[in-house]
Amino acid sequence: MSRKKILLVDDSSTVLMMERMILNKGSYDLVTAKDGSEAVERAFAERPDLILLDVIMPRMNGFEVCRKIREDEAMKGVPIIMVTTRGEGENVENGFQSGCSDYITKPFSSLELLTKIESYLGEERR
Amino acid sequence: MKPANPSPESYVEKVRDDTRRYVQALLEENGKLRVLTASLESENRFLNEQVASLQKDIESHWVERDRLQKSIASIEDESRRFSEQYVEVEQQNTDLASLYVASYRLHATLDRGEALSIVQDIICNLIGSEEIAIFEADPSESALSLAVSLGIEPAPFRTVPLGRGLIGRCARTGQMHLAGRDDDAGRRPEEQDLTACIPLHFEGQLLGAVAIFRLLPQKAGLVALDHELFELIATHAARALYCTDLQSRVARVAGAVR
Repeated sequence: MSRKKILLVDDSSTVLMMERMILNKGSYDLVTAKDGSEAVERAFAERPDLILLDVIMPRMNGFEVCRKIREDEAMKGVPIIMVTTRGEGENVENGFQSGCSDYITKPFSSLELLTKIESYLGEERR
Repeated sequence: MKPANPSPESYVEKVRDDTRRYVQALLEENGKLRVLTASLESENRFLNEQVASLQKDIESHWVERDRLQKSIASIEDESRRFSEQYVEVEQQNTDLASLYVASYRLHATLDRGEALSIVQDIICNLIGSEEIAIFEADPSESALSLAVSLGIEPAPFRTVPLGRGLIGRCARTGQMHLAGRDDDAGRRPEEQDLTACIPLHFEGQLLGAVAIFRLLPQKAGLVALDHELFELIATHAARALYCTDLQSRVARVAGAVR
């Protein structure tokens, strides 16, 4: 089975490092981006199987990134999970309207993150 | 012409013959019934044996079913235990990863501004609060000055005299303050939403304090990991800030020497 690729997008090095530590246990290839514009570039260049996307970022926020990615026909089906500190209804609704598939709130646990990812990519746990 | 009347002897003879035939038929019928009875009795015996054997089978199936049910219950128990252990191990992994990441990040820079921003980042993303104030101790160690803040009105916190309010008391005593656990006598109005205050001491010297106000809405309360992170911030953030201070002094001296 080919390894799945996940694009991690967050302007916080702390969060990126945390996500890397959790997801390194699975057989995933990880690529990262530190702002919205870089996220869009990396998404089109790397064609990931799933995207973990922060909402509040410099240059382009997570909602805009999500809309940009969804404009591409080939990327329409790629699961995008918003990772946000803002778990209020309005924010979540904005996320879904911009085309995200799911969301997870910070601070997250490894179990929560892995379960969510595995529900989209299938069992990868070793 | 009238028929001739039979003689009494021939009539008796006829009756006797009829009776004999009838008895003979009854005997034959009786014989057949005996055979049938014997065959039914044999069939009955066979069926009884079958029933007994099936009952034995049923009993052994009940026993087997009980054994399987017990075995399923024990497997389910084990599976539940494993699931609980898995959740526990994953939680420990998260805790260790968070502590490692926090400690790694705190020591990743010698720039004071970046160190302060990393402390905020850790509180936002690993603890779950976007209302933070980080104070530095004045050189005289008589008051705290607000170094950076996030999500709060900074004006009331520009200068906090040591011993004044929960933040000032925390800095003066060096004792961490946790809302709900510690006495909140002396709480000032601007400290109404204070969740935790962490003193920053290094080598007996007061360096500052970190105040955490309201937690994110999705965070119901502090968990064990948060206490660990507070302890880590108390020691490692203090050390990191001390190092940034040393670095800037070294840079100044080096500049002067040059």
